[in-house]
Amino acid sequence: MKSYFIFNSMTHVMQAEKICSNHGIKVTLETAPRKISSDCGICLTCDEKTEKAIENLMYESMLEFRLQRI
Amino acid sequence: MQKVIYLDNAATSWPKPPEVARAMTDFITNVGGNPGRSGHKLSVEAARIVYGCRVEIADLFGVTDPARVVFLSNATHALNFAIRSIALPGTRVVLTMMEHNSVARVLEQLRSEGCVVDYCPCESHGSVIAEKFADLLRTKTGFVVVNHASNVTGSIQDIRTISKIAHENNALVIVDAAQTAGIVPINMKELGIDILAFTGHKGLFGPQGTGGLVFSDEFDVGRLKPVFAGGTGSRSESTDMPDFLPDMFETGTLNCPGIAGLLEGIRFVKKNGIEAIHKKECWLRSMFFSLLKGIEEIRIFGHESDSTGVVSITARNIDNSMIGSRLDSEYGIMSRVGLQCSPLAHKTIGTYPQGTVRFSVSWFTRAEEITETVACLRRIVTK
Repeated sequence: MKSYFIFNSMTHVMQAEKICSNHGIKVTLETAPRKISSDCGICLTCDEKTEKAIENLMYESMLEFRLQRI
Repeated sequence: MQKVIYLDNAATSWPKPPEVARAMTDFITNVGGNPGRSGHKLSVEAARIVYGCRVEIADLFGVTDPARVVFLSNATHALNFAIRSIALPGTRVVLTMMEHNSVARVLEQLRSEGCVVDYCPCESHGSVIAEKFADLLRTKTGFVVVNHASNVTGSIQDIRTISKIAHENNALVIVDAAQTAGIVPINMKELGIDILAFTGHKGLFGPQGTGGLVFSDEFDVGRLKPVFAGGTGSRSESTDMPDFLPDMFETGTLNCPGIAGLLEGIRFVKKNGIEAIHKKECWLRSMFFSLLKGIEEIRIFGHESDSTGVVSITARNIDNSMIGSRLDSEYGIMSRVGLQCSPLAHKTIGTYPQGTVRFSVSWFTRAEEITETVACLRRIVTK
């Protein structure tokens, strides 16, 4: 199963990517699957092991996001 | 090519650091994607560059959230956007008598749509008269617009005092930083600026066609009604504009090659240090002033301290346009003649309608270029 972090805009995706990178967490950016987002942008993906750490970082940074697992 | 002494940096800075052109070329050649519009590598890389520039700009102005940086085409568009987003029929606005037409013309248009517009007088060298400003603010005011530094005299306004008075009277503060971004240190929180309009192609050494708005961390953007609507690459399922920054104000494809260049321009400014840049401009201006004082026929405007690197003059016995034209054609010296789009400022300093001959330096200006310019001016005005 893969975790998808979806953000309001590309700016926030970039912000999230940078926050993860600053904390040594490797993430991948992918086109958001149509079934979880109708946005034309991208989302941040990770494996189940790092999901919680990213989730905590996003809360700490007060970045709005949605998390979905497919 | 004839030797060029470029002293028109208040219009647009030149030369640019070489890395600006390199970054733009690299973007067009190797990146080229449209940020936020696709998920492929080139789109993501473009988004990283744009985001990197937001981060640098937010940091430059003391703002913590990079999403509070909105890219637009230039300072004029940014000021239009800010003013029109907040002004409603009946809103009272106070601006200064040193404002550029990028503000004055917008507000005169809005006056005809029901806004109440009042001008705050300034000293003959350009500074806002604080007592007069405070008097004006006693009447309920929606917002004030202040030119951080004049493009005519270089005079830097005391934004801290102006903001304090405005906020004590519940008025918002919009600052036009076209002449100061990258030249004078600006911390929006410390200076009490709610909205700042900047241009990329002057003190920040970016290319023309870059600029934007920065909202302070405390400012409630919900108070603004977006002027533009259109595609943002987000919330595409809806025909309503998104309600989050920066997308709520950033529609259509950005000037990404320009932003890539601007990013390098800002890095250049930070590498050299804004304090050092301002110090150098002040030193060059002071030298310019001292040398010009030895020419009886020339009158200098503005005061020597608290200024950017702008020097405005007139000569007793020769038309401004003739001075500018001869400097250019005979000596390769680039200045700007006339009203510099700031008729109010010229009325304030007493040079309306003929204007002045304006010289403006940058980090790249050399001392010998100033001495040569003054020597040429001496020849032109004394013969």
